[in-house]
Amino acid sequence: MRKRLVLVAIVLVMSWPGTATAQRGDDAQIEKGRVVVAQVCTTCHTTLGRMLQVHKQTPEQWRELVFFMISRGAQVMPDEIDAVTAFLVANSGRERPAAARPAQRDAK
Amino acid sequence: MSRTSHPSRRDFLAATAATGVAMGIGQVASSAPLQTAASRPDNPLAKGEPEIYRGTAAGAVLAQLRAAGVRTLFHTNTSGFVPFWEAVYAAGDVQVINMTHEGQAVAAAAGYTMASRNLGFFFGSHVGIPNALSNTYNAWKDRVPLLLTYSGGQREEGKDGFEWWDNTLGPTEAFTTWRGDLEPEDVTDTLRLAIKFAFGPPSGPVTLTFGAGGEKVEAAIHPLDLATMRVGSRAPADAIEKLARWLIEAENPLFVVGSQVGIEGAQAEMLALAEKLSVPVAETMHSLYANFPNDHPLFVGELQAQRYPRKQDLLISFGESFTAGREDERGLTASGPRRIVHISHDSQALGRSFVPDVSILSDLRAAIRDLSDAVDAIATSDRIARIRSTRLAQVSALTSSLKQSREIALRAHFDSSPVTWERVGFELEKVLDKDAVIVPELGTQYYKIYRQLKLGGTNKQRIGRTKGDALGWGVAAAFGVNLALPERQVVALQGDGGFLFNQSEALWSIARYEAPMLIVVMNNHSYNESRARNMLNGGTFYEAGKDFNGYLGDPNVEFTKIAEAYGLKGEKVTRAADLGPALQRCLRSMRDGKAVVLDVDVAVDGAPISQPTWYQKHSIAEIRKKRLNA
Repeated sequence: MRKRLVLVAIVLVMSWPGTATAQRGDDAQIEKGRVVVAQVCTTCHTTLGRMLQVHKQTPEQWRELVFFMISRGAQVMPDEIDAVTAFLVANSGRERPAAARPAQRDAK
Repeated sequence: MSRTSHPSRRDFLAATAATGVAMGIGQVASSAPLQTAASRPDNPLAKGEPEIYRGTAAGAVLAQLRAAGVRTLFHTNTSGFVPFWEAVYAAGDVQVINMTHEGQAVAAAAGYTMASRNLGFFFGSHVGIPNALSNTYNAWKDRVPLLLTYSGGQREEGKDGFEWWDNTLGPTEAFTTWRGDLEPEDVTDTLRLAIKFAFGPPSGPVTLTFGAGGEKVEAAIHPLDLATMRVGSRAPADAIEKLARWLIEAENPLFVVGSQVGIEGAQAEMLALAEKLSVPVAETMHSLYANFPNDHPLFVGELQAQRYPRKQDLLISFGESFTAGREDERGLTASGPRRIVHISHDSQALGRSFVPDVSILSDLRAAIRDLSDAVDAIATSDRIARIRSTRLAQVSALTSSLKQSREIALRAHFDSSPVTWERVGFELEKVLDKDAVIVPELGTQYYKIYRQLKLGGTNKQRIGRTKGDALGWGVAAAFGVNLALPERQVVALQGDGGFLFNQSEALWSIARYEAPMLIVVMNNHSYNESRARNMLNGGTFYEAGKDFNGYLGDPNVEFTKIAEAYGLKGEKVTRAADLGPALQRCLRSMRDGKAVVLDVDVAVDGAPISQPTWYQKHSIAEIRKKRLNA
């Protein structure tokens, strides 16, 4: 069952409609990100399709999330960070507006 | 009458013979599918004539414990142990550690045992059994050898008597390897049997009623070597040879290193075998010890996160039993290894959570050495060297890139406030001794600290997080570790939520026994792990931006004041720039012999919600109809 869930998640990400998102980012970058997400993220996040649908975040927040997951153990290479972020930005949050992250602030 | 029966001498002989003890024969692993285990040559029990102890039954318990090298006992308040206390007083070389709650005492005993590989012994009141259950469960999950003994009270079977329920030890049944009664007539026989069951395999807690009091007895006392108490096993040569051939021929093998490597202290052998053929090494997210150096070029992190080798053709688990139904299972299936081999010193762990292609029952140290020797015997040194150098280049390229990515992630918000978890790990790595011991009890965000610390090998050691995951373990467990390792810096890593699970009680013992520990409270004012998981897939509350469970910031607990209430030092950090200097002050206090609670304001992670401080409010003061008299 788990294996099937992972497979579904991979198929879902791999078949994500690229044309609908073309105007929201660089096509090649998004495509590269899509391949990495399918390889790296779906192993654990079997409901990735649903997660992407419901979570609307700003590009900065998605980038933070990629950093968070790298620190957490996701095997994203340095030259893939922008691509993964671009894919997440282009394909996420069709159901709601972004929520503000209240707490964190960068020191000057 | 459902009381657990204590064994007769005949039962004892039968039971010990079955485990290969009394007759001096090794365990035969009937449940191991592909092999029979070789005999263990040494009988870890009786050698020569025992000494005969003459005195009280309670004194006999202590005499047998001392003959096993046990000098530290854990206790929680009760009456009824006067003869045992008298024996402790007379012995003069036994330290009793008082804890203020049975659950905390069990956690401390577990931490002590995990660090010392001695035997954790607790004595307290049977009415404290329910208090002790949560950490008894954790110890059972971690397979920690413990003897948990409880005064029996006045037996009132079936009568709902004072402080009484029937089948006293029944509640512990799910979390123990054995249960019995210490009674005067066969007190040391039962105690030795209990120790054997505690060390297994499978090892784990044993519960006993402590019915040995001031009765006069003559009891046999045998010296016991706890280091050899676990019944050993060794894989047959043909199984090892077959595995060695698979390993040499595999293009993309992967090792998964588990807790049993740490339990046996076989880390050096594990490292040498991995290096021999440059096999990448992973661990599971429930790994209990730092079994492999995490800064090594062959260390590729968590199993379920693997990108390389993408298509494994051989996965060998060295003492990792995996956790059924969770991330471990995904790790085992995602890359589709053609062959999975499970090596374990516990026959009950083999094939329990997953079905390997080959199960091998063996002590890990012996299996690793045998496998290494078999590889040397099968392959020429040139061939081994070629495999090693080719694969090392591939794996190193991966681990080097991952290290760069982590560095980018660390630097992205290096100076942010609240402090990032990565920064906390970075600062701890800068100031702690190379041989410090980390005792974490954190959610999955722990890995953000972990990736910044050098752990395993000759670096810092890690004990925990408990595989049981029942919160309320870490502070007392770290205290137990410090009791076992007084020369080391011991650091408990706690979440604010986890600390509030009955953990402040442990500070009393930390203060009384002057344990110079560091307790870092990663304070994000929330149950962040639960919130992140609850919000992951959206839903009504995510849409509303409300979380019924997660927010902890009202009341905003001043953990430093909790520390000060126990006479300990408290430090509070809210800005990243202040963390380094605060840690220096903490180290000075530790050097002076006083523990510190360091409360660090850390970032909330996961999907942000629009009302992060919302909670379901309720005020008794507001709804009351009647004003109380002032």
